[in-house]
Parts: sequence; structure tokens; C-alpha cells
Amino acid sequence: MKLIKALLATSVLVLAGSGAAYAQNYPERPVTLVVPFAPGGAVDMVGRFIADRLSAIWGQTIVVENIPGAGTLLATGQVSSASPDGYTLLINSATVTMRAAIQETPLVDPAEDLTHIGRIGATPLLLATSPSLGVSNYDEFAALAKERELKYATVGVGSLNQFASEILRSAADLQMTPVHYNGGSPAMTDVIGGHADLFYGSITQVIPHVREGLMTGIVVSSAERSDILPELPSVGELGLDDAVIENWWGLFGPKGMDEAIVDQINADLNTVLQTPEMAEFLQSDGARPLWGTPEEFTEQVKSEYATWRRVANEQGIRPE
Amino acid sequence: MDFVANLTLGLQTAMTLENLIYAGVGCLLGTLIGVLPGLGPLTTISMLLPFTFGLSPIGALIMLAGIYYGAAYGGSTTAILVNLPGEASSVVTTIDGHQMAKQGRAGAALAAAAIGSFVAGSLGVLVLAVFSGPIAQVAFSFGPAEYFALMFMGLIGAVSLTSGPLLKSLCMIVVGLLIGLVGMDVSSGVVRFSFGSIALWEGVDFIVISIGIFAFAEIVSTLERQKTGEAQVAPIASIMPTRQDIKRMTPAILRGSTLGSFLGILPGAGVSLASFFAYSLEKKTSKYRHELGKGAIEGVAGPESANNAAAQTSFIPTLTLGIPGSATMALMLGAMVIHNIQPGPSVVTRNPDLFWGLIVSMWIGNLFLVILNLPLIGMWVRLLRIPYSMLFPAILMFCCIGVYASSYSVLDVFMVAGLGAAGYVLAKLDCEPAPLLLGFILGPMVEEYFRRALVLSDGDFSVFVSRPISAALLAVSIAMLVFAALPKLRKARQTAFAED
Amino acid sequence: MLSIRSQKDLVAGAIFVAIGIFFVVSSLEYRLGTPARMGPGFFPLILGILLSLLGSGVILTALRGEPDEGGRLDTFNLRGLGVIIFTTVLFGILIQPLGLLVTLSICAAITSLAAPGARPLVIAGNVGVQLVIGLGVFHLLLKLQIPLLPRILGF
Repeated sequence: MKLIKALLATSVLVLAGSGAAYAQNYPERPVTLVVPFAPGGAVDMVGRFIADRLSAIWGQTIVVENIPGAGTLLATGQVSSASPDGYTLLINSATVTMRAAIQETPLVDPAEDLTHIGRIGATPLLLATSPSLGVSNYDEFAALAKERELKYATVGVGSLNQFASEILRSAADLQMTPVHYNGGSPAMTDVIGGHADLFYGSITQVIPHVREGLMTGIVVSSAERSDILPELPSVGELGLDDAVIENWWGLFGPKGMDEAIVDQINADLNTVLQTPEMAEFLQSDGARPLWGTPEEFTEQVKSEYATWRRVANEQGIRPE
Repeated sequence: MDFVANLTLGLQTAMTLENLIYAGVGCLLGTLIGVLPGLGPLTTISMLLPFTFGLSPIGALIMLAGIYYGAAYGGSTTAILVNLPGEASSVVTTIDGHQMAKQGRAGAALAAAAIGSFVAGSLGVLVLAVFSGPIAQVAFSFGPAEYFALMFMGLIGAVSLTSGPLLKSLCMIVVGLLIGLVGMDVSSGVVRFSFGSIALWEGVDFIVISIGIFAFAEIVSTLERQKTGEAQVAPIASIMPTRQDIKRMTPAILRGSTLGSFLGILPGAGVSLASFFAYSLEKKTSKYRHELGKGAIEGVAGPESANNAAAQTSFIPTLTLGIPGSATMALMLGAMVIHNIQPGPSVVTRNPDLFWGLIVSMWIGNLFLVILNLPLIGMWVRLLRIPYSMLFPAILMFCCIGVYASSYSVLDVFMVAGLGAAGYVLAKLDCEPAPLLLGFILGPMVEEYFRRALVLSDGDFSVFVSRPISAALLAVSIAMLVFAALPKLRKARQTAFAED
Repeated sequence: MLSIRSQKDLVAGAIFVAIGIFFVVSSLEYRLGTPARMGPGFFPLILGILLSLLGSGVILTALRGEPDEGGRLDTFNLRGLGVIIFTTVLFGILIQPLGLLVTLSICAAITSLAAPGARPLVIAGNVGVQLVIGLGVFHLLLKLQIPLLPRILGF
């Protein structure tokens, strides 16, 4: 049995690894990929997809472990204190820079306490309103939000939804206040039912409900219009440059990983990201693959983390 | 009517040999993980998800659904046999089910659970097939105020879970509510009562409480009874239920199924509440309500039916709205997306073969479950004849493995040890644990919905009475309270008059 | 000494009051908030007060009335409780460094000692049964990610 496994492993390695110069024999044993969300969400799906492809390249099992909680910080904290041997990896979203930014002394510093291996993909956000609000485009929405205070649903204090909504509120001079939920589904259910007014979340998460007509799409958070929702304006074209925001996913490891291993994982990750299936997998929901070097990723995490700390202070986003 | 055509389409899809095998494998696996403490459908489905990538979408979903409702059913077995609720929904099954087992009627209790689950499952599937479209909209009419009122009603009903003194049950509910508040508060983002431990940020896991307070306390108590020579299990009367049993459980099954079918539709209420509500209902309406708590078959049949019916109808919001009511349903939703099916109002028209195939296979799955489990009852009951000195180390170790495997957290294992001691002390003080469990489940929800309703109404308390559903539910709760207190008041007045 | 109706209720009530006071005191460090934006301290404070009151009620009813035979405190089975708590804690300590099989063997052997009339054969039987089930069900069938053998052996 073991022999068969070993044979299989080598044959896959030979197939996939021909030409690539490996610094060492990484990985020699199963790798754990920690997903900081409950199974079933977008990050979980992307994580499982990547794990599936990387394990084919490496000829090693990748065990996906879901550790939801504390707005991804629980999992992030655990990974940051794991051994930096490359056998414990983490997929996380832009959320990690935000949830840490609202804490006075963050449980884990996403810029300093992690190794940034590589980016995976990015998706703009889609603001969608309850049909009962009676607005059908951005102008009507903005007019209403200047007239009275709207309630936006979020998945928690310091979440992507709250930061996106707050920077839009401040840039467009609207009146909005958060209502926090325990997850995207209950939050959107209340918006669809007309109990809360709007939800501003990743396109991947919101678009199914907009397509079904359960919510009304209003505006997309990117600088340009989105390919899959060309009829909706972007905040960029409305002149609200300060409100441009994108959610992203990236691969992390504990701080202090061996550079050769980081480069190898980054290279294999980029190989996966450039396959047509990966593009198709992400694009069907309005996301796109995003690749690059570990250094670029570090830069992005650092600058966004600094930005969100500033925004959190300005807008008073903190646990209280 | 298209209904027949739709069912035919469903039958064609589900009745292929391949899909039948998937349904069977799913049910078997589900029953197994339901029986094992700690492991829930969520863990299993997420572990098995990658293996379904290679299957056809309908095959994959049929198997995953089989695991889901197999687990919903399997949890009752350990609840009845060894007083160990593996899932939140089987907590109430322990109350009468384990009493029945102690009286030598484990077979009848298990059969009641199996038959009740089958009838309820069939009814749930029928609701799903006929009404899924229009009924799904009900989910949206339940906002925070309505959910708060529903939870409040559940708390009032929790008093009926015990036959002990009212004040002590109330205390146990409040203790449960308080333990439920540990962890991050959704509304403010503040972490409460974590005592500096990051592992407590997400609160205490249900399985930790239920294994500690139920299973461990039960093991120690049983060891103690053995020492003093009290017989723990009466000789087994008969494996199958008597005609009298069947006559008594039928109305309970019907009541439970109806209630469960309705509660399953509400994504914010969750399947776990269905069994609690059903038990309260039995306590109010059953002809044999005075026997509840002492081993009445209604106390098993009603809640088990409600649980299984809710497990079926909770597919309604997931399938037809794309809104999952629980983590497990969210995973099912994810599985559908992976297989390129986007659930939503148009899934019925876009993927009719999938929708109807799944519905028919759900019913087949329920049939499998009952066929599978009725013969197994004999085996389970025989398990009780194993000397306890051999049985309990196994139960204990399964609990430890289950707790550890549910989150790979060593702290959880330590907490189970501590809660086990606490549970034993409570049992010694005649404090019954079921109300605590319900308080624990409802605690965070009650607070969350209450505060959210007030945020949405800008602090106006009248939302709870100005919205019709919420007002009606609160009125029922208050009526329940008054009716519970009335007999006592009347008695007090009578004694007052007598003294005159 | 007062005439106590139920020692059990007296102790239970005291425990409830203590838990209630504990939560009241600890909830004071959190914000209470306003009705529209209730703080994290509000609910625990109210529940803590409620529990203290209800617990006091339990104490009062425990003190009133004729002594009740069923209300007398039983002796505790400290040996049984001790063994079970000890084994569980031991399981928690050993599972990560030693893996499933070794931990199971040790813990199963210890728990077997708690039952009256434990014999070597029973203990060996318990260990055997659990190893088979641990391996078969949890490892092979459910594929749990718990290492089987001690880490030192390279698994």
C-alpha cells in the first residue's frame, strides 16, 4: 500500500516537476492549509480548489482545516505561531488586515507576524439594496441616504462590509449606520426581507441574489465597471476615488519561512493561477486571478493594513 | 397537474442504481457519525466534500444529503442508550428516551425514534415538494423582532423540560444563557468572559457542554449505582413497540412533524430548536403529559419527528432561496456551487432534474434509514447487556476523541473534564441539565435578535408588539406563563378560603 | 442550626447566587449602552441579577418547611469522578505528542480500573476493543486528522 502511494507520488512529481528547479524536497509530508472561515464560503471554495491543484503538483495530500472565528484572527493567530516549516499554510482575505486594524494591540499583526507567500485573486464589492427600499440606481440610493439614515448589514465589527460602507459613506457624504450579523447569509436574508436596508459585500457573495432579483444591485466598488455587471456604475467613475476598495485572497505562512520554500510555493501557486480552469472558476462569480511575487504581496498587505488603521481611527470603528 | 410529471422526473433521476447506492452510503455514514459523539454532519460533509468532486452533481448531493439526515437521526441512538446527546437536537430525547432504556424499553424508544423520523421525513419531503416555492417567502417575513419573540417562547417552554421545581429549572436556564454569552459579541465586536483565552473567543462548543454535563455525569452516576448494587438496566421487555405504544406515539409523531416542518423553514431558528419546541408541545397537549419525564414514548416520538421534519424542510430556504439556515446547510450550498448549480428561486426551473431528483432521493433516503435501523435496534439493545465495566471506557474514549476531533483543540478536552465534574455535582443536587442546554443554545440568539431589533428600530421597544407575528408569539408566550402559574394560584386561593 | 428542608436545594441555590454575582461583577467592565445601541454589558448584567434573585429564592424555599428525606446530600463517588476527570485530562495532554493509539491504550487501561471488579483480562479486552475501533472507525473510515503514532517516530 505504502509502496503504491510512494510510486504514485513520484510519478506525479516527475510529471509536474520536470524543468522546475526545486530547492529541496519540499513537501515531504502532508501540508495543512488553514481556512479561517466555516466550510462552504467563497474563501473555503477557493482554498479547496487551490489545495486540490497544488497537491496534484506536489504529489502530497493537502489537508484543508477550517478554523472559523474572531473574524479570521483565530486561525491567523494559530498559523502565525505554528512552525515556519512550510507545512502549515493559511489562505485569508483582505479581512485579515481590517479585523487586526480595529484592535488597539492586534492579536496578530498581518504585516509583521506572517510570511506573505502570494496573492490568489481579487474581487470588487457590490452594494445591493433591499427591494423594499424602492431605489433602482445609485442616484436614487444616494438621494435617499442623504435624506435619512440607512442601516447596512455587516458580518461583524471591523468586517469588509463595514469598512467598505464607511469609506463610501464618508466619500459620498451619506448617512449609514451598521447592523452586525453572524455571517453573510443571515445578513443578506434580513436585507432581502426588508429588515435591514443594504449589504455591501464581495460580488461573489452578493451576485446570486441580485441575479435572482432578490436584491437590487446599485454600485460596484472598483475603479472601473465590472465585466459581469456592465450595467452598474463603479465608484471610480462616480468620482468617489476614496471609496474604491477590493477584496483579495492570498496565501500566508508563519513568519520566518525559508525563502526557497516560499519561492517554490509562490511559483507553483502562480502556475495554478494561470490555468484556464482557475480563471474560469473565479470569473464565473466576478472575481479574477491575481498573481505576483511574495514581495509585491508583502507591500500590499503593509500598505492596506496602514490604511485601515487610519480609517478605523477616523471613523471610530472599534469593538465597544 | 405537473406534480406527477415532476415526481416521475425525480424518480427517473433518483432511481438509477448509482444514485441509490449513494443514498445508501450517505445514510449509513450519517447514522454512524450521528451515533459517534462529537462528530457532526458538518465535520463529515466538509471532510467528504473533496471526494464528491468526481461524482455527478446529483449523486454528490444525494450522498451529502443522506449524511445530513442520517446524522439527524443517528444522534438519538446514543441519547436513548447511554444518555449522551450527540447533537443539540437529541438533548430532549435523553429525557424520556433514557428513562425508557432504564426501564428495559430501549427497543420501543429506538423504534419510536425510527418510525417517527420516517413519518416526519416523508411529511417534510412532501412539504418540500408541494409548497417549497410559496412557503419559502415566510423566511423573509421573520425579522429580528419575530425571531426574538420565537426564542422567548422557546425559553418559556424550556420550563416544561423538567418535572422538578420551577425555580431550579429557571436557574438552570439562566446559567445556560450566561454560558452561551461567552465569546465574541456579534453586535459590538467585544470579547466577553474569555479570561484571556483566545480559544474562548468563539464561545464554548455545544458538544463540550453536552458531553460534560450529560455523558460524564451519567457515567459517574452509573458507576456509583453499580457500586451500591442498584440494578441499572431493567430486563429488556420487548424489542419492538407494543400496539399500545404505537397508538400512543401516533398523535405525537403527527404533532411533531407538523411543528418541525414549519420551524425548519426559518433559516434563523435552526433545526435544533424543533425538538425542544416539540417537547414543550407534548407537555401541553399530550393525553399522557403527566408521564412525560418518566419514560413516556411521546417524549421520544414527538421531538424526534420534529427534528427530522425540520432537517428536511431546512432544505427549502437553502435550495429555493440560496439562504442556508445552518453551517451544514451553508456547506451543502457550497457543494451545489462547486457542482455548478446556483440555488435560488429559479433552481426549480433551471435544474428540474436536480431539484426533483433530490427530493425523491430524500424520501428514498428516509426509507433506507428506517429499513436500516429497525433491524439494528436488536443489536443496539444487546449493547446494553455488555458489562458496564467494558462499556464505559469505550464511551469515555469516544467522547474524548469526538471532542478533540471536532475542533482539534486540547482546551476543549480539558473543559469537558471540568464540566463533567460540574455536571456530576449538579446531578447530585437534583438540578436537571436539559434546561441549561436549551438556555445555552438560545442565549446568544436571544440577545442578538433583541439588540438587533432595537438597532433597526432606533431603540423603539414597540417593534416587538407592533409587528403582528412578533406580537402574536409574545402573546402566546405570556398565555403559556399564565397557564403555568394558574393552577398554583388557584390552589393558593383555595387554601386561603379553607383557612377562613 | 436552622431546620433545613433540603440540603441539596440550599447548596444549589448558593451556587446559583455565586454564579449570578460573578457575572454581575464581571459584566461591569463592559459598556451598558443605550436601548438603540445596547452595549455588551447589558444582557449579562440583567441575567446575572436575575440568577442571583432566583438563586436566593431557591435558598429561601430550601430553608422553609419540614426536613425532606430526598433533600439530604448524598455522598460523592469521588473515585469514579476522579478517574474519569484524570483520564480525560490525560487524554488531552497526550493526544498531540503521542498520537491516537498510544493515548487510547493508556487511557483505556486507566478507566478500566474505575469499575468495580476490574480484572487484567477485562482491561486487556478494553484496550484491544478500543484500539480496533479507534483505528477502524476514526482513522480508516472517517479519516480524522489525528496522528496515529508518536511524533518522534516520524508520522
